[in-house]
Amino acid sequence: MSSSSTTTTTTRLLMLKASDGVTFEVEEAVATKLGAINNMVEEEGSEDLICLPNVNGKFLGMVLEWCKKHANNNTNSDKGNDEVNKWWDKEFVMDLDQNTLYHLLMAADYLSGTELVDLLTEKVASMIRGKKVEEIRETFKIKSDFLPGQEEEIRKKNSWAFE
Amino acid sequence: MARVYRKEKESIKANEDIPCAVMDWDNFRRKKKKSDYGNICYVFDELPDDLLIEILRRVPANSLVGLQCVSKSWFRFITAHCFSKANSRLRFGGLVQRLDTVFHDRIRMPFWITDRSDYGVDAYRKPKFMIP
Repeated sequence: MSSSSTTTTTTRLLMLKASDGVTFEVEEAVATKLGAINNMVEEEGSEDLICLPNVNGKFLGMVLEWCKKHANNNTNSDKGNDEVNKWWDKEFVMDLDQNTLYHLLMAADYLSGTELVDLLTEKVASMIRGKKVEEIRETFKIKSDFLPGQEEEIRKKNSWAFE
Repeated sequence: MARVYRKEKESIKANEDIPCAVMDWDNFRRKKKKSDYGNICYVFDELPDDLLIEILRRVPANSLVGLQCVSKSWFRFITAHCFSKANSRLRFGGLVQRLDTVFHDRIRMPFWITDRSDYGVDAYRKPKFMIP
């Protein structure tokens, strides 16, 4: 059953139901960019409604938006394809706040969208890279919970890293 | 000789209930709670460890050393996952390929095994990385 459904040229629509009851109707080719959904489709065969109890509708929507963009870009076999994808990815992660970033990352991980996880972790890493300790505390709103003296000890131990 | 050996063994046993000062594994492994830290920091206190490793492996190794003094939880995480002695052995040993076949795609490879030749290779060799 599953093999015949993948070979047919007509696009099959899948219903994805998020935790808050919002449903999304997406083409199979788009949804199967997510590893978890791909597995479910292959296992269940004819089932068209997929419940995703761990993902909020808002973030599922964003994940699916990303999938749609990538699926569309991949069908046009241009050479500038990668460029377009990269540019679009950049736009996608540009104005995400930390809360959204966290929820998106969890959603992408749950749905095993490996490429999206890569993109988002790269974004978080770029927020860390090249920053000083104080700047990191400021960006992520972390309070230092070291006892007095502990921090100096660590700094002294690795003094070369703070030059 | 045998008696001395046994005595030594006994003394080791007696020492077992003294908490290990090297690495606070209990605290580290415990499920992270928001209330443990002064401020809610979504990105770093709530993410599962494998995603955190995935993030930190994209950060150059030298700056990770500096980031240890952001907070206690960062210190624990970075020392445990990035620069511990046990892990450094994995980095250089012949285990790399075997682990590659054992771990499927779902389990992410730790960053010290994956090839990140663009950064950090030199930094790994610095003896200062070893944390007792």
